[in-house]
Amino acid sequence: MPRMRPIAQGTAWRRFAASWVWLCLALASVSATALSPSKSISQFAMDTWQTDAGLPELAIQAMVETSDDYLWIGTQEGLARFDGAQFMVFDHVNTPALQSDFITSIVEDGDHSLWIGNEQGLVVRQADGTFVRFGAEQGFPLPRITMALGDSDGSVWISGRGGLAHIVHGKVERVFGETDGFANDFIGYLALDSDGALWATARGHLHRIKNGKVENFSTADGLNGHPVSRLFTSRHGDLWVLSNGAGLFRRNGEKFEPWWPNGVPEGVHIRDLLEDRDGNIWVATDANGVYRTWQDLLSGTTSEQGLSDLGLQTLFEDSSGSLWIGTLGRGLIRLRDGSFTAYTKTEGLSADTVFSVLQDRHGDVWAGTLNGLTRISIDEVHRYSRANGLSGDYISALGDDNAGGVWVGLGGTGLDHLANGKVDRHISLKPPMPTSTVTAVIVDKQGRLWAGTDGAGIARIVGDKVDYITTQQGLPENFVRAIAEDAHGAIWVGTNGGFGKVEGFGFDVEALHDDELSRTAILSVYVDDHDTLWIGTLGHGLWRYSGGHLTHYTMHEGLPNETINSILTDTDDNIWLGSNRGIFRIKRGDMDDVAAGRRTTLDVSRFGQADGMKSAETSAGAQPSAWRSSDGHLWFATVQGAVVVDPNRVSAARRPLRTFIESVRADDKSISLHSGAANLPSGTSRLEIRYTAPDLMAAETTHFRYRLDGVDNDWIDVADERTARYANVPPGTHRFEVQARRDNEGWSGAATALTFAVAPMFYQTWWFLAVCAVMLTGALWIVHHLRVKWLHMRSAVADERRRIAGEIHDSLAQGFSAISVQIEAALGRLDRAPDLAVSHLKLARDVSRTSLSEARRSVWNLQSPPPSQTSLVASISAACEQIAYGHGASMSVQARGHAWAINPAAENHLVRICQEAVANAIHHGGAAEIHIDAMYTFNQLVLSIADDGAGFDPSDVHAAPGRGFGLVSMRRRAAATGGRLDIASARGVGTRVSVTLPRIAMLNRLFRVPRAS
Amino acid sequence: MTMAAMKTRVMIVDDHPIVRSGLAAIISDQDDFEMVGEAADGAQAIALFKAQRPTVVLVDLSLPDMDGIDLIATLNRNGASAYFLVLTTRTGGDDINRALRAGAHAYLFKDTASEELLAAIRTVAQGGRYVPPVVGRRAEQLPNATELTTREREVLLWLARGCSNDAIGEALGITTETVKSHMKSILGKLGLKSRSEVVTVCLRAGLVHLENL
Repeated sequence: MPRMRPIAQGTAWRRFAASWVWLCLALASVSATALSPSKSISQFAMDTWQTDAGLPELAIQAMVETSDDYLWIGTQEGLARFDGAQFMVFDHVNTPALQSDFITSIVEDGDHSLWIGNEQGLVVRQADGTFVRFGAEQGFPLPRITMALGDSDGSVWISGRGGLAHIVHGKVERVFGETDGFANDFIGYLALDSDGALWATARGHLHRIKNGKVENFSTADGLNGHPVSRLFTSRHGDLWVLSNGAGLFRRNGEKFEPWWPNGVPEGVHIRDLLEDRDGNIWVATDANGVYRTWQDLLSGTTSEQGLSDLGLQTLFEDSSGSLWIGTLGRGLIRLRDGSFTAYTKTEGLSADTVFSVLQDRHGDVWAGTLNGLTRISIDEVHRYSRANGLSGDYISALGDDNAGGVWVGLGGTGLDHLANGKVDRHISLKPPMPTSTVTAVIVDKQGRLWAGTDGAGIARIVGDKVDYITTQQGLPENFVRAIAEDAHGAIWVGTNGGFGKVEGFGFDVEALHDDELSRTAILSVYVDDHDTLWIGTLGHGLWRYSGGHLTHYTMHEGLPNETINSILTDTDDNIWLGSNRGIFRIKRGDMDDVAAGRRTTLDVSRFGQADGMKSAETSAGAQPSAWRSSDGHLWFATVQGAVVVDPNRVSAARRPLRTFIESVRADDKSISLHSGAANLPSGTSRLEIRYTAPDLMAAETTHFRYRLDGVDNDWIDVADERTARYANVPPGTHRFEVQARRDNEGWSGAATALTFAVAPMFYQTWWFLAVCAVMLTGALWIVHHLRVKWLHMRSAVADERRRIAGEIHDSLAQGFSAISVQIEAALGRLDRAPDLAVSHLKLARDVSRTSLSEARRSVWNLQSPPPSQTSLVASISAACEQIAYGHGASMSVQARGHAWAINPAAENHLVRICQEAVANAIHHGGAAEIHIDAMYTFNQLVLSIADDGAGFDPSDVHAAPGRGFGLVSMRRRAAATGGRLDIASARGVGTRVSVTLPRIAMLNRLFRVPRAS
Repeated sequence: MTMAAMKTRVMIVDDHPIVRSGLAAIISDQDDFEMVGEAADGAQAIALFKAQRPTVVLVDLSLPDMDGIDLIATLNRNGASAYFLVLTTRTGGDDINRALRAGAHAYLFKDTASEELLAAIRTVAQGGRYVPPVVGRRAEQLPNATELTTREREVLLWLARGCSNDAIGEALGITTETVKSHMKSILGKLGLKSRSEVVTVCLRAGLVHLENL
């Protein structure tokens, strides 16, 4: 923001008074949303944007506010979209459709398409955000555009070299040119009047198109014959014609009459003319800045603000009433109004930094500064200083004498009393301490004068008698900051190091019984209409003392700042606090609710530069730093002037914010948003989402919060940050939501969402995971399979051991016992009966032979090779014939049906079952014939071993020694194959053992967990 | 000696005919012994016992129809006045203890020499007890198996047959959970950790017999 130029003080306040005071009276009811005519132009907040803020170039050619609340700016080096805070630039590099960056005109049509005219023709930005060249292919003949103008029906008019085109719903409706009656085919400026007729210039001639016919206006119609250079319309559609940059004409019926805005010097070069919604006519000039007239009266110029030599190009009033000024070489300027009006040196104050402000009984407002005292009255601004009678220039405090006069506290020199514009009394303080800067002055109900000093305590002055209350009388500090008298006449004093009450000639620092308050540096003390005592501190928030209760308000309760420089209440029971971070307004009811514990935080409205203050920082340390004037307006001393606000006019509702996602960048590459959902490449590590909520009035008061589904658990509150950054967003579809609110508003607005998909890396894809899962399952299966196999093996080994143990016990041990006994018998009879001994020995021999054959069988069973895959029957034959061998039993093995493959483990079990059954048949049943039959069907195999032996009672197998073990073993083996073992037997009829093996078991077995041994 | 009328009446119970014949030969060769009968199983033994009233009965514990210990107990319950001498291949401590508890006066392994066997018969016939040191040691090596309940012994039997808890439960008509709790109790009483260890130890101790499997 350019520094304001110092002005000649004598003329400044006169101009200020002439315009401001008069207009104040005349315009009491003007809407607050526009630039108030009652303010001087310098009282508007002025902001400037140049290339360092993101503007593509300093020469502004065209401006338009679109229906989505953005401001579009055409410069000589590109197009910019502005949301109030940031510019997004479109040029031929990032938007090839533009071809040329020299933008001449921009307009939005009724379909929300943006028409951009430039040196190379016309480009349309469609509602979805894509830029498309609009040229010969679309039947549009203009190679170079001068002006684009929107009609009330949503169509657009485009003028330029080659004629005038009317475009309706994106199609060229008609092209006008020389043949239609224009002076030539190079059509210049355009304007629409209140009748809906289009006016255009061509080769300096003025034309009107009415009912499709081109008319020509000339000197006969009141024009001066000079070439017509520009056309403007008033807010009501009246046509103004600028002739050759100087002469202005106003249309009056079918005639033109010369007209010149009052107060604007003759001969200035007018570049643009605009009538705002309040009827102010703003005149932008080539080299003389901006003039403002109202009711044909000059109401302000910017000549004193450094705008004179900027080469103003174009003016634009946005929907919020701010005025935008495009310059030729200094960028973009905004003038905006706020609820607050600031008075600074420009308006005639002695200095910009105001310490104290006060209204006297006559209604005049006094502002004390470091450089003198200023009185603002209805018809003049008057400054007081040492030059015109004050004892000093440093005004350190002001006090109302309750009689129309003012007590003025002076740095280092005591007190002056001003009445009727003259110093009529001076009190020189000669305190015990070597200082006498007065920081606070009050006159109490008894007429006593109290003066707080910066280092010498309090001086109480009655008549000519001055008494001091200092640390010796109990004052916690001799640096006094504020003095106030409550409704009962008690004098409350805030010092640099505590707060308390004057008691007689002493001081009660414990009056409020609060240790923290007793030690805190106090900046302001205020007694309101309800006799509530408010105490503002340096960095410790606000205290309230009401009805004997003390309440402390800090940032925890919602105060935006804990240094409270000034305190006021308005007539609507709002508390106003001046701080270093703006002025806060809080409902008194909220304060009560927090004090009573009914709510935890305060709703704080916050005002700052966006509201018309020149600086958000208020002044402190000199009393009074704020004052409520008799008309209810609130004055605050700030470091940039005195500001005043009408509390009844601050709550102008603004348009709800609309949030937009502007761009998405993945790893610094821009992602297209035109197709609705964005697709991000795989492996995106950095994601940047730029969003905004356009607010041309006060973008600095906008707060955002956002969240990304699956990444953020909750909303991320980011204040005014307009870019969200994420690292390593997981693949999948995500939803990004962003919401905006203004200061003092809740998160009530609709959130804007962006759905995008992050493509997964190969290792993040479902198929990769599926493959992994399959492989893992496979590995687990293999492990399981091996384990099962191992368990089977172990189980088989255990079976074998048990079988051998059983066989040894059943046959070998018995055999050896028998042999042993027979040999004992033989030995015993060897002498007495050798024949008998011989028979015993023969028996022993027979038993040992039998046992040997048993042992051989056991060993055979142990050593027999695993059955081959080739034939189950062959394996069974080979195994069982060995057992039957030498026992005289006949054995047959046969297979029926179509044999199918059996897995080796199962085949082994089957062979062993056959062996066991055959062995049982021979050894226990004494069978003579054994038939083994394997019958295959499609579904199952039935293997049966039938003998003609003794048989047994299957229900009593345990009673049959030797058989029990074998049967259990066979059952186990049958179960292990997945089959079933059946035994049919009865004493005397033989035994039939059969195994039924379902074919499916060949599959199932793979997944069976063997029964634990 | 005028012992002819006072010959010790000996009866043999053994399922193995060759063993029986051998034993009968050895015993009948002694002057002071008289073989009064041979039985191949428990049923025969009971019948023969009633008929012959032997003084000493040699009993093999592994009989086809019943356990030798049960036979001794049965005969003792029925007021037998005989002395039982166990002659068996079973070497488990549990068998020894149970047999002695059931009323056996002597316990001999089948590999005993004939002289010792005859001495044992004589000792028993006079009301004495004959437990050779090797048998006594075996009896003492037994883990706390005597504490096993009947149900636990049943569980043990099926466990030794290679059955899972489920199968044991099915065979005994109890739930798997009950089997598990029995199993826990068995492991605890025997101070063992695994099921296979239990089977090995129990087989060795005679808590379970191979022929019963």
